[in-house]
Amino acid sequence: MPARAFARPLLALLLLCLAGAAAAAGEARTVTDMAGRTVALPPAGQIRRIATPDGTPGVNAFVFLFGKGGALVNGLPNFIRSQPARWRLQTLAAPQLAELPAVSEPPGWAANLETLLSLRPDLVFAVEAGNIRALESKGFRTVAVTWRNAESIRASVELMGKVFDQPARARDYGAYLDAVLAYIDKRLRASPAKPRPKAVYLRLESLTSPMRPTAGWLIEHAGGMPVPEKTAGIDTLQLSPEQLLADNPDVIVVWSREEAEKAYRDPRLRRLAAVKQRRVFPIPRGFMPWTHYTPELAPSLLWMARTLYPDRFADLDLVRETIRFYERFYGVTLSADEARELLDGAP
Amino acid sequence: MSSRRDGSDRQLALLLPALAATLALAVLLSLSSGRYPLPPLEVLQYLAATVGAAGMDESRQALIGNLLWDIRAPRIAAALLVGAALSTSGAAYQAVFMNPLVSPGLLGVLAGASFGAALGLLLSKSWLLVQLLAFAGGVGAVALALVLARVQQDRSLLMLILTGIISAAFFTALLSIVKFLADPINQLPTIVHWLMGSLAQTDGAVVARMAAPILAGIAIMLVWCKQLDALAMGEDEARALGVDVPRVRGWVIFGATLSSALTVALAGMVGWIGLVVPHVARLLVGPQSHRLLPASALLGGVFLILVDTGARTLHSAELPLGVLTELIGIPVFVIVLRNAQKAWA
Amino acid sequence: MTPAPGIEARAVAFAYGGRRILEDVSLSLAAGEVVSLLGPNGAGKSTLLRLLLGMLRPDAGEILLEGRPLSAVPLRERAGIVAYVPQIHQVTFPFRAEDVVLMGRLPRKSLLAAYDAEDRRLAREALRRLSIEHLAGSPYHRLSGGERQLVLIARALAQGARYFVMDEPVGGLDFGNQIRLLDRIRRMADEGFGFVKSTHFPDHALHVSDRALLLHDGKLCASGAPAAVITAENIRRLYGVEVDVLNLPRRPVVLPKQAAAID
Repeated sequence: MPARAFARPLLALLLLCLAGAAAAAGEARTVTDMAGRTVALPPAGQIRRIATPDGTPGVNAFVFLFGKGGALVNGLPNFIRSQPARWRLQTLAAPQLAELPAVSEPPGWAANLETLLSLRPDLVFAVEAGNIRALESKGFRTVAVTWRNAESIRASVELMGKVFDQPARARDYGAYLDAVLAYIDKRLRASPAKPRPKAVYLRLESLTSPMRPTAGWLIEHAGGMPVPEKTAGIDTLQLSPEQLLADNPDVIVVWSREEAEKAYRDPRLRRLAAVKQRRVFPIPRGFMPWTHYTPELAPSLLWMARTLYPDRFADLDLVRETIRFYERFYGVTLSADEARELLDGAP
Repeated sequence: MSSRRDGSDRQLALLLPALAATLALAVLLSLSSGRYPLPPLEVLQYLAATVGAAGMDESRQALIGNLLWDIRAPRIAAALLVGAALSTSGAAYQAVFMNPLVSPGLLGVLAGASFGAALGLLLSKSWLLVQLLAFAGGVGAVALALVLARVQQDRSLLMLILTGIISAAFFTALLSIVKFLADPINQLPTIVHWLMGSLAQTDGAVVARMAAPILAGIAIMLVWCKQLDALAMGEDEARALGVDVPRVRGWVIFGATLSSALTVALAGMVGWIGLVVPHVARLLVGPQSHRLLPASALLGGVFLILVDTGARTLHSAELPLGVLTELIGIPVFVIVLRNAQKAWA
Repeated sequence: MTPAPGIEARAVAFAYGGRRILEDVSLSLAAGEVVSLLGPNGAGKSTLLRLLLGMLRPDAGEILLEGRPLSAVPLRERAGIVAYVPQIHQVTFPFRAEDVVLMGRLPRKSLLAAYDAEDRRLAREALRRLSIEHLAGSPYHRLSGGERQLVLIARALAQGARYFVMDEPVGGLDFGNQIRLLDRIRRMADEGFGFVKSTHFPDHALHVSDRALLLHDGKLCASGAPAAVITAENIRRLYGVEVDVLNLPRRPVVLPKQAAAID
């Protein structure tokens, strides 16, 4: 007699539990991406296949931050595959990338939609408006990551934190970035004020200064003054030897060690302070060159501060900080030699 | 009446020296202008110090020397060479093709040289390779146009213009492939910016290397002045006047190709000069080639020196040279067209 | 006694693209003669003139210039003997009349030599001879058709040529200029120059020519004094139209028959 009395309430409870479970399973969460679009997402655990056709290496760096490198389904574009040594870190973080097909190529990064379809991604990240539209219209679940300036990096990390439901990781990164900024600021204030060292990020061959929003932000927040001044809003600037002479930067950041050597030999740059004092340095390259849109902005700040103020940051062990950064946020272990090489802009 | 005719002849004869003087002035003006603040008084002081007539702080003297001779002078020389080469080629082509609307790129030399130079930038960092490939590309494009015309068994000018368009289109397509293959972080921006036309990267060693072949190309064109006039009247008439038409055309095309291809290696794509300057020169000195070609060379040099001075002085960011020559060239062309003696209209 | 011919074509043949254009055509031109070439379009008149100028090479027969084979005479020397006077046409650039005439001196100049005072004097002399010296400084493209044709003749004079080859010289000229040009040609011939010209007008041949050659389908149909060869029958054979040739006191005149009434 007691079993039968509990039968109906038990059934109701069972049904309730089942309904609850079903609801939880299909629960659609939404996220507002950096283009202001509202995207419906499955639970983070169900995002098992991720595609990054637009700006592949850069977007990958953010995906790696959340440990989702293993979920990437598209390979790397040709220019990366043809320089494996230079882009080593990408395959280190996600070994399967070496075997996967690329779905797009720069400069447009327009995805080959059929290949992409065959890869059946649960989620696609895109950067350019045109690509976002194209992917959307073909029914891919697209999340837009728009990069305009250094703040976009922090915003991208926060967005991905929501997408992958890892708010703690996103917070950790943000905190680390803030800590680096605070550390630099404190150290610079502790010493007597001096005129801020002038710096510029330059492609020596063409004398263009690219990535000005991020590079400028880096220089500024590392205590330097980006030159030429009064050029806000322009992404790439064409410079000339004379303009450089007029600005006379104390530090010049270039693409590679070869470029640095060329700069020292160039008769037109002979009178520049940076050249006379041999302060032309190649930018470190991890997942991306450290002036680009990548979470490596954080250690990049440290590198820039040390480059601009070698005396004030003499005690900063960049090698150790670099190893710790990649270990902590990427689970990638670099040896001391590897870290040194990375910081020296090699290969 | 004959004295009036002699008078205008004398006027014309004075114009060439006047243009040369204008060129000298443009050079001086350009040497004294730039983003680095250098007051003219200091220039004089520097010159005096160089000859030992005055004293100057050594490091300051070294800096001014570096600015004037390593930075500004090569750039001015490059502007002069590029402007002169493109203008003379334009004037010569207009005579050979009996058409006032042709430009040096007609047979595809500029498209071919752009492809060659971009390929050089793609393959290596050596500027020497870039220059060699630019030259090879330019010559290759013109050769393709000539071969296609020959295959058609039609040596007429219209066929040459057609095959020139085909060749230019082909090499433009090849250029797109190069852009596709280029590293978007490092190489592509260099290629794209440089294709827009710029003298920012000019360096003395490169200019020294290019000067002789470019001047040789110009000289080759200048040699055929009388024959070009006869050609401009008509192929049959020229032949009847003893002109070896294929030979003259061949030499002039070679000279134009040589100098134009190398301008791309020096400065990227600089448009409109080859079309507009000959018209302005014709307005000043008349259509006879022995005056028109030298006048075009001088005027082209002056024009590009002045435009490039603007490009590097007006703003801390360099303004793209190719864009500026178009922006300025187009209204100039409109004005010239209104005033020109349109024999062809 | 007939003077020695300056230009001579002996039994020349020419084919192009598999098509026979001229066959067994002979022509001669001596100083003081005006020879007219008559024939319908496609008869080969232009080709024959181009052969005389050396612009084309005959497949058979030979062209002689003052007794020498044309191919043996260098280009520039040829230009000093025989000149091409084209029909007036559009020019691209605003050359002045004397600039055009000056081009006649081109064959005498070495590669790098500029035109000198002597060249200019000869150019002006040529213009004066044709009574158009006052047009020397005028833009060529602004001259009237008749004036332009005279400038082109002046250029031929400046070349120093004695024989002039003209391809339909009255083309593009109004009636008055046509007559004036023909008279000029006759007068110059009387001064010792030789003219061979192609024409569409039998009356023009009758007006000023010493000899007429009739070309039909690449072959010489008739050759001789104009009055003798320009007959109603030859006109019919050449042009396919019916005419009467009236023998007026001054010269014969070709009069087309009244068009038949449309039934």
